[in-house]
Amino acid sequence: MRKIFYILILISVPVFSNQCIECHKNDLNYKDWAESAHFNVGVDCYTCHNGNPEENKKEKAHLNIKIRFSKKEIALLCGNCHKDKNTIARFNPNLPTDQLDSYKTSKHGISLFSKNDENVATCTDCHNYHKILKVDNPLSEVYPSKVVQTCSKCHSDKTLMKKYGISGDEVEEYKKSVHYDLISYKNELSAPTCDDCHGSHGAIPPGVSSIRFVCGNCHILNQEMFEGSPHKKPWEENNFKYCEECHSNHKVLKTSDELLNPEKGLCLNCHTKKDKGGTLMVYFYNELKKNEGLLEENGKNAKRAEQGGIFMEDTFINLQEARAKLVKARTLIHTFTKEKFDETLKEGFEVLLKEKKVIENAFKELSSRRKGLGLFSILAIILAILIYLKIKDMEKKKNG
Amino acid sequence: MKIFEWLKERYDLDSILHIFKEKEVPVHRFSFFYFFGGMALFFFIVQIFSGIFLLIYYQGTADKAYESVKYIMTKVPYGWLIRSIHSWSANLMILCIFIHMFSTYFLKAYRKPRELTWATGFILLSLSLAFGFTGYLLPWNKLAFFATRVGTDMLNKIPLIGTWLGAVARGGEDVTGATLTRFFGIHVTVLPLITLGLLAIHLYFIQIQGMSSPIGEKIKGTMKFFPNFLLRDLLVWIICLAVLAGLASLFPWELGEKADPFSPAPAGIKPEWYFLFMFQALKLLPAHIIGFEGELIGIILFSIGGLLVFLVPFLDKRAEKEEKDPQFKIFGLVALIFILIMTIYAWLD
Repeated sequence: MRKIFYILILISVPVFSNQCIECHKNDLNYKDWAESAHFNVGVDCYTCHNGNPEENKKEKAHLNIKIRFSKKEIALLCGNCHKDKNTIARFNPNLPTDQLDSYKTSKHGISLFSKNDENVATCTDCHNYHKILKVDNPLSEVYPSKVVQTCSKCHSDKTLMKKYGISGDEVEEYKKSVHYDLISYKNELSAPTCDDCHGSHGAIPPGVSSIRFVCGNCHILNQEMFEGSPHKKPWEENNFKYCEECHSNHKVLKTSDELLNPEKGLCLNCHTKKDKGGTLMVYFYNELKKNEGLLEENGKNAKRAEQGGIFMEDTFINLQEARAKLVKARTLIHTFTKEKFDETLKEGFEVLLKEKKVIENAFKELSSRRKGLGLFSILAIILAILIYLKIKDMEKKKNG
Repeated sequence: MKIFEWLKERYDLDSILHIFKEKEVPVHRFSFFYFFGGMALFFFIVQIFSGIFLLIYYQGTADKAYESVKYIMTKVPYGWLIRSIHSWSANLMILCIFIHMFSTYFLKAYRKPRELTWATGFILLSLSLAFGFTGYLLPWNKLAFFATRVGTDMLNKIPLIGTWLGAVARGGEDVTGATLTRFFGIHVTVLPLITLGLLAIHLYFIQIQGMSSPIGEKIKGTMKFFPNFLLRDLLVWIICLAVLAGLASLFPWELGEKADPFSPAPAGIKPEWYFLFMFQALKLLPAHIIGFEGELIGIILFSIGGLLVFLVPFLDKRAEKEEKDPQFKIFGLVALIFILIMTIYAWLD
C-alpha cells in the first residue's frame, strides 16, 4: 500500500524536460552551446529562440520560434541580459554590463543602429553564435592572442573596408609589429592587440590628438618625456600624429639604435644631419653604440672567464645594472635633450669601465693558472725524460 | 726495510713478490699497446681522487646541482682544476679503454687462457660507459639534460622491458630531479663498487697469467715486468699527467647553461663522443624496417654486436689453436671503421 502511495506521488510531480535538447542533441549548434559559457547558467535555446521546450510535438514546440535574427536584433538580444546588473551579478559579479551602451558608441554600433548597416560586426561576429566562450578561455575568438584573427575576418577584406575608407592593410601591418610578435610568439598576453588601442565593444579609432594617451597607457615614461620635450610644440602646431609619426600605428617595429643611424635615422625625415636635431641624433647614436659595444664585449668576456673557473657572478649583476641604465637612456631619448640622457648613460658607462677592469684581472688570473700548469707539464715531461734515461742506463748496464 | 721485514714475518709476501719478480713482458713491434691498459688504470685512479674532492661540495638535487658545480668551479680553491681534470680524465680513460680493447682484440689476447680477462675487461668498458652516461647529467646543464633525455629514450625502445627500464632509469616518465638523484647515487656508489671489484679481478688475472704474445708475431725477447716495464708504465703515467694538466688548463671544461626542463631542446643535441656512433647510426636508420620500428632494429643489432664481442674468445676457435682467422680481423676492422665513420659523421652533422 505504501509503495503504491509513493509511486502515485512520483508520477503526480510535474517533471520539466527540455524537449529542444531531446530533439537537437546531435546538432552542431547544440554541441557548440554545450561547450559555451552559457551552458548550465540558464541560457537555454528558448532564451534566445523562443518556442516551447516542454512540448514534445514539433508543431507545438516550434510555435513562435525565431531562427533568423538581424544584426541589430542580435545586439539587442544579447544586451537584454548583459546590461542587466542583477542577472549578470548572479553568475559573474565582476563582468561589466555596459557592453551594449559601449557598442552603440562604436563605429560598428553607430553604423548598425543609425544606418542599419548589416555589414558591421555585431556580438556574434566576434563571440560566435552558440559556442560563446569566456574571454580568458584560450579557445575563445576574443582571447588576447586571437583577437587579431577575429578582427581580420572583416578588416582584411579590402573590398569591404574600401566602403568605409579603410585600407584593409592594418592587420597585415600589425602582424609585422613588435606587439604581434610578443603576443603571438612569446605568449606575452599583456602586449596590445586591436582592442587594447581601439576598445572592444566601443571600437573606435584613436584620434591624432589622443594617440599619445593610448600608447601612454603602457609606455607611461615615454609619453611623459615627450610631453616635456621641445618636440611637443612643433608637433601640436603641425598637427603631427605624436608617437605614430616615428613609430607608425599598426606596424610598430621593434626599436633599435638604427632608428638614430647618422645616414638613415628617422630624425632625418625633418632634420638635416648638421642642424641641432641632426647633431643630437648622431650624438645619441654614437653614445649608445659605444655603451652597447662595451656591454656586449664585457658580457662575452665575463662568460669566458666564468667558463674558465673565475667567479663572475658580481660582474653579471653589475652588467645587468649597466644594461638597465642603457635601456633607461634609450627611453630618455624621448626628452630630446642631452642632459638626462648623459647623466644616465654616464652612470652605466662607469659601471662598464669598472667591470672591464675586473674582467681583465680575471683573464690575468686565468693566464697565471695556465702558466702554472704549463710549468707543471714541463716538469712532468722532464721527469719522464729522466725516467727514460734511467731505464736505458739500467738496461745498458745489465746487457753490458 | 724494517716495516718490510715486519710484514714479511707475518705474511707470505714472497709468493706475491715472486709473481712480480718472475713476470716477463714479451717484446715485439706492438708492445706499446700494453701501456693502454695501464693508462686507463691511471685515469681511473685520477677519477677516484678527483671525484672524492668533487663529492665534498657537489649536491645532487635538481635545484642545487648546477649551482654547486658553479660554486666548485668559481669559489672552491682549485675547484676549477679538479672539475676540469675529472671531466678530461673521464674522456681520456674511455679513449684508452677503447684503444686497449681494440688492441687486445686485434692481437687476439682474448684467446685461451685469457677468456675471463677479456670478459671482465668488456664489462669494465660497459661500466665506464655507464660512468660517463650517469656523470654527464650531474652538472644539470642544458646539453646534459637533453642528451640524457635522448639517451634514456633509447632504453624505452628495448623490447619487453624497455618501458620499465626507461622508467627505472629516469625515476618517472621523463628526466627530472629524480633522474639526477639516482644517476648521482649510481655514479658515486654502485658503479665504483662494481668497478673496483671487477678491476681487482681483471688485474689479478693479468698478473698471474702475464701478457699475451700476438699470434704469428716475431717476439724479439722479453723484459722484466719489475722494474723495466713498471718504470716504463710510470713514464707513460707521468706523460698522461702532463697531458691532463695541459688540457685542463688550456681547455677548461665548460659548465654551460642551467637545465630548464620546460625550455625547448636546443638544436643539434648530441650525446658524448663515445656514444656518437650509436646515436648517428640510429638516426640514419629509416623509421620502419620490414614492419618494425627502425630504432628498435638498430638497438637489437647493436646488442647482438656487443654480445658477439663479449663472446669472441669462445667463438674464435682457431685462435685457441694459435692460428690466425681473418674473419675475426675483418669483423673487428669493419666495426672499427664503422665506429670511426659514424663518430666523424655525427661530429660534422
